[in-house]
Amino acid sequence: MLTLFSLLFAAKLAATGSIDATVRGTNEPVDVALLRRDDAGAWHEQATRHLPASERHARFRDLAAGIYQVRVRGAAPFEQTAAKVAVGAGEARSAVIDVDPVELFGRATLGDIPLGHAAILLKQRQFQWQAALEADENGLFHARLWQHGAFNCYVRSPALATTYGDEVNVDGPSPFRWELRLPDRRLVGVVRDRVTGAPIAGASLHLQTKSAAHERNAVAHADANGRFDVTAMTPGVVAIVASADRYLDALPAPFTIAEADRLHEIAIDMEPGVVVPVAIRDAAGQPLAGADVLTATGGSLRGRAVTGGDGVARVTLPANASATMYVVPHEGSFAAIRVADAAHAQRRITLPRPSSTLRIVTRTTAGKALPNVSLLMRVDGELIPPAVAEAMQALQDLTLQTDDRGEAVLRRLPPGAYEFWPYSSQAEADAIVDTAGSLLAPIVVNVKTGENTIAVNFRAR
Amino acid sequence: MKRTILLLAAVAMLAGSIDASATCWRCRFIDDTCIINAGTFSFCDDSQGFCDAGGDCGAAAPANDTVLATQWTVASVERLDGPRTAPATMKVARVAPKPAAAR
Repeated sequence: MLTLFSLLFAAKLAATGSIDATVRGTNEPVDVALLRRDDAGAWHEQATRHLPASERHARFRDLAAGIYQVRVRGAAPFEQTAAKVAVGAGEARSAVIDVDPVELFGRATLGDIPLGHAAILLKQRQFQWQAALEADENGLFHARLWQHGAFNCYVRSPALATTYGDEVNVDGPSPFRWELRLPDRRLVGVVRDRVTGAPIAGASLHLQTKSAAHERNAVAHADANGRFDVTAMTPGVVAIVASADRYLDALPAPFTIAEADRLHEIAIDMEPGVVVPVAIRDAAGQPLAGADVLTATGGSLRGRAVTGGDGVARVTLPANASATMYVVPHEGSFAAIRVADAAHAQRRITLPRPSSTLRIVTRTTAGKALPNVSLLMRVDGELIPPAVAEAMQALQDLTLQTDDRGEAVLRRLPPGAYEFWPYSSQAEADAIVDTAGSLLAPIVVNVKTGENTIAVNFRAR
Repeated sequence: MKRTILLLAAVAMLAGSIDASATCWRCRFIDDTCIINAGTFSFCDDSQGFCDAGGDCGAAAPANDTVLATQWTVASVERLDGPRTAPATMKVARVAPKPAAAR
């Protein structure tokens, strides 16, 4: 009996699944698309069937186990609706996709002023389908949606320096009326040269507004007079990074914009830097194109350059202060080069071969996995600050944190002397960065060419 | 015994249909992208050229104010691919209150 059951079970695991989809609530011709969700939560279209008005069923076969959505599209942009289907190995699932029309009537205003001709994009949060419309000259708009639910909303208008983001929960009976009121809260300021006081035209500003409920990022640009005026600011803690050619990135102290605030003014002073051409070579001595060269001072990122086809990056460095250049190519490996000042910067950097893998297991002394431990890393005496580690994650998929099973696999590393400090919070990481120079790391490993595996055993305090 | 085996097998087969949808997100500042299994937000969108995250992912959110060093200390480091290394001595960094970092 057990053998038979095992065979049946094995056969089921090897089998493929299917979804029978039925469309209800419309007699119009529709397209039925099948999308599959990847591990990062993104949906990817797998197949599409066109259904004429006479046909309301679509079948998708030979499906691997996974999370799918069946998305039904009509002729108009907002005529979209979807349902999620989890398919186990070998499972035959059925899904009914209901078209549940809702008339949406809205008005877009900036404070009390109509936002005429605003471009409004709605993105269904769960299923990620999206469609756009344009408000009329009075800010009025209308759409006929096929699906209720939570939507992200993005508003673009010549009256706004950045795209405004918001959300709306379209629920209840049709029609649904929506006052899309953008806050009349402004952030205005100027970007200046710290030495001369001259305005810096065209400086780029990366704005991050954080509250318990949201994190919103936006990009704005200073005008020819170095001035910027960002409208529709949401309350929260605002962090800005200003970038401009031949200047080190400026990171003014984060500040709070409160609910009651209407206007916040700020001056951003940027430190002029010296642009130094730096040639990057791989381990074979060939020019390395597309490699990022990051400049950091005091643990903060102050600049980013990318090598061209000739392997040369134009790196902005402080004129009279020390900095560290981090070379981070997409292909793996990296280098950290300390620079006393721009005049003495190394002009040619050859990267070591990315020939090592380091697997780190974090567990308790009882042998139980200790998950989600972040790791601050020092390599051959050079600390990798969290901002640089984040860049390495973005560029190389190198994640300095153990997963739910208490494992981190760091691939394509150069061999060397590696040290790690475990931490949980940003404040803890900052404290370690401040003191790392005078402390021994609790985790030390000599990473050799090839596979390396260590277990870090933690004892409860 | 047979009942137990059947029950276990049924549970194993059903497990393939479970959608583990309790997901937390955060924005990665350097490239304005959404990072899954991190942060405290229940949704995140980076399809518009910038990162926008919101909602509360609740109990699935990692605690972001804990200090690991107050709860755990490194007892030893073992090399699992070769000869064992000597246990390291734990030196704990002091945690001083600091203003939030800009990135």
